[in-house]
Amino acid sequence: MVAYTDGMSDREQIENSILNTFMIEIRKVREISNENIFKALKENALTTADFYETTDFETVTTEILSGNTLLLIDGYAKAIIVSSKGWEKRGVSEADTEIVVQGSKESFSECYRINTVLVRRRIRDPKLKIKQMQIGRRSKTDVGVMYIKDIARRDIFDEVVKRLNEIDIDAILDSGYIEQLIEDNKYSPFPQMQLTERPDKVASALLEGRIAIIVDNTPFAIILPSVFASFYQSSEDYYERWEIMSFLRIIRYIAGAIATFLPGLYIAVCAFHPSMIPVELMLKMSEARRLVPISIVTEVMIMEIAFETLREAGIRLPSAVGSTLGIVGGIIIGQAAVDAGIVSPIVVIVVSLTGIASFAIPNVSLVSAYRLVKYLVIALSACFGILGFCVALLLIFIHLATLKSFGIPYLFPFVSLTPSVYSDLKDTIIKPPITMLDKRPIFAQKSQRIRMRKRKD
Amino acid sequence: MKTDNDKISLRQSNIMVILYFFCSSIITMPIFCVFGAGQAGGFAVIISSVFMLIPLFLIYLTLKNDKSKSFYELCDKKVGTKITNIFYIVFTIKFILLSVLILKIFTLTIKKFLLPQTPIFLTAFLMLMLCGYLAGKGIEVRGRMGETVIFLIGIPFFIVFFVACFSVDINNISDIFEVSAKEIVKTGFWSHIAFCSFDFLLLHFYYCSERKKALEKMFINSISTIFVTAIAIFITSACFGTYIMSRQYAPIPEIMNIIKLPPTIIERYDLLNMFFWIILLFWLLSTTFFWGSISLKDIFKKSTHKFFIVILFFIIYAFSFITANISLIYGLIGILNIISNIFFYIITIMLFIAKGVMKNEK
Repeated sequence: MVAYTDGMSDREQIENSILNTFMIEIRKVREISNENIFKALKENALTTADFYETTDFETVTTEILSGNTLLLIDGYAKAIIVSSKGWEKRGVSEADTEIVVQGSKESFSECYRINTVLVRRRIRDPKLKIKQMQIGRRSKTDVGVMYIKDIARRDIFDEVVKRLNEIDIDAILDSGYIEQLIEDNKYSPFPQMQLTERPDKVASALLEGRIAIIVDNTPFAIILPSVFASFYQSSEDYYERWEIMSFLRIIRYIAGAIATFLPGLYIAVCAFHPSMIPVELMLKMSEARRLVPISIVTEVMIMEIAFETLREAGIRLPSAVGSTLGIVGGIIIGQAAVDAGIVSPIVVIVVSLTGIASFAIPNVSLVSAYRLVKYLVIALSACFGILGFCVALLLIFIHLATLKSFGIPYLFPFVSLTPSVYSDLKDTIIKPPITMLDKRPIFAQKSQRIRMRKRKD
Repeated sequence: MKTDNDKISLRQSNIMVILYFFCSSIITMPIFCVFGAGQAGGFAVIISSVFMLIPLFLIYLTLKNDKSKSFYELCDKKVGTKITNIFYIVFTIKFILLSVLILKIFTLTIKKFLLPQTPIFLTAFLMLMLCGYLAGKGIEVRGRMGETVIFLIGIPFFIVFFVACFSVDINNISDIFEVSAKEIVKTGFWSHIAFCSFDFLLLHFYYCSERKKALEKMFINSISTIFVTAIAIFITSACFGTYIMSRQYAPIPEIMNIIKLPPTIIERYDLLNMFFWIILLFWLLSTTFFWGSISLKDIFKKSTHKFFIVILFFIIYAFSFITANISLIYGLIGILNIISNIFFYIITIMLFIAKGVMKNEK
């Protein structure tokens, strides 16, 4: 008897390697007894290499529901599972969220096997290993832990596997589930792992000694451990000349600061300490605000919420309409609000600048954290002026100093580990020439820190 | 993957020592030294660094070969639980009072310069919450925060003093060599006792992963920090003149008000001055808050100090409403440090003698 799930199995393969064998080829085998049936099939009949036998009923059902074919033979007490997965899937397409000018355009898809192949194609090293497991009592989602055996740190790998094994949930529908279930601090808005849809980014992380988790049905792989500085790194940084990429890195850090602190600083300075601003500028700002009937804080909050709504609406709408709505909505609503005297032009500039700055950061999760933290800065600045701003700044720093990603402090390499490592500081705010990146970061095993040597002739 | 949150790296230890000496010396030492030694106030600070070598050397001798887990354990072993508890109670009282006084300086400064309309109890509450939050996070996070705070304090400090070098009036310190050596030495001696307390170092080094190296680095870190303070005092007194400086509220940060930075996008620098001041007081207050709770934890032999942070929070908050003016607070800090330094000398000498007795018995 042959059993498979229609639509999840490759019917052509079933017909060629199972049905054809049993209806035609098997007749050529002369002596088959119940004892040697599996051996006989293996050697003479099945034209596929990927099959095994089992007696476990749960394995049988899982395999059928995973797209494999069950083969039951009368008189033989074991079930034979033949690999025949084959369903409709999206192919390899361009990355949507991590677009680069120079570099590979490939991105992960929802198919687990394609994703692992995309990484393996980039690292043809037999030491690149995948520890495969199934998570989710009902979903039985395929999850693969990718690492390079002699580079990745054993303690981190063991901890990753331990945390994955501890997950007891009915279903894993996206890598975001895994991320939230294994992260160190569940109450932090800051991401403690990188989600990426770029296979070259995963390959690069693996070569640094980091670990990647590939989850079936999701085009996002998880990279860990991840530190604050790694969220500011883009794949492109390493493909183009270091001078311009260093400049862009600095711009990204400034953009991060603007996205978090600018509205709060504006409120603190304008509402509490206007004497800090040069007189001419202050007079212009006062003139612009003369007809505005509401407080600076309310003004900023109205514009911030309007901007967030536009951003959210832009994502939900079809791509062509979404971008149009963003531009039209931003211009029209901003201009109308200024004309109506609800907000001053300077607030429109501040909020727009904050929004634009957040798009300069290459990681969406970090941007989301900044978007949330910004309101804490606004609230404290609105209550205590520059004191509130300083308190918010220190609170954020304390929180970031508290975070760890699989034992690595989140602010590393800006803060030290034991023993102190300074070489990792090279690739943070600036991106040095590639010849200077001769060492792997702290994520790698101690014996594997050297990644580049001068070739001896 | 979960650490015990009880160890800091060598770099973090060095930074914490530098920050402690910088923050505690930069607030009150300049006024005291200029008041005592006039234009040669900077020399008095340098002399104080020579006197500092004695307590630092005592710390080094006491801790370098010790294998105990904490200073409490060492004292307990050498001089008994009762005496140890007495010393720890003195330490704790000192940390609490110091926290109260720093909080008082903070709230008065905020009231005077930043938020005249906001009630003091609100700003005090906000600052204590922030410091309590950091103190509750443990030594590892303090170490990492130290590595961040040093940039927040150090960068504006060095930029401002570099620019201030162009605003000095050399006539203000032209009589620098006419001050009597006796006055300089006397001021140096009292300033090292009154404005730096060393007892916290006894507790601090037990949390360092490389204690011996950290102890060796302690000399260079503390002395070089005091030298930086001395240079700052020379520049400040050359900018303001000793008469104005000795009557100023906080001369070192106030230098930010007289400098002109080239790209003048900011009209007045008093806010930068306040930013520097807030971070500095935050760090000092969180330090005393933290070590106060750690001392209490050791006295009551508890595994965590978090509960004591809550208790200390209310004590410090309540005591901070005692009415006092800034000059009185500065005076009280001086007296408090003198008393705690006397206790410091007593305990280290006792430990030293106990060590010798034990060696002889063996």
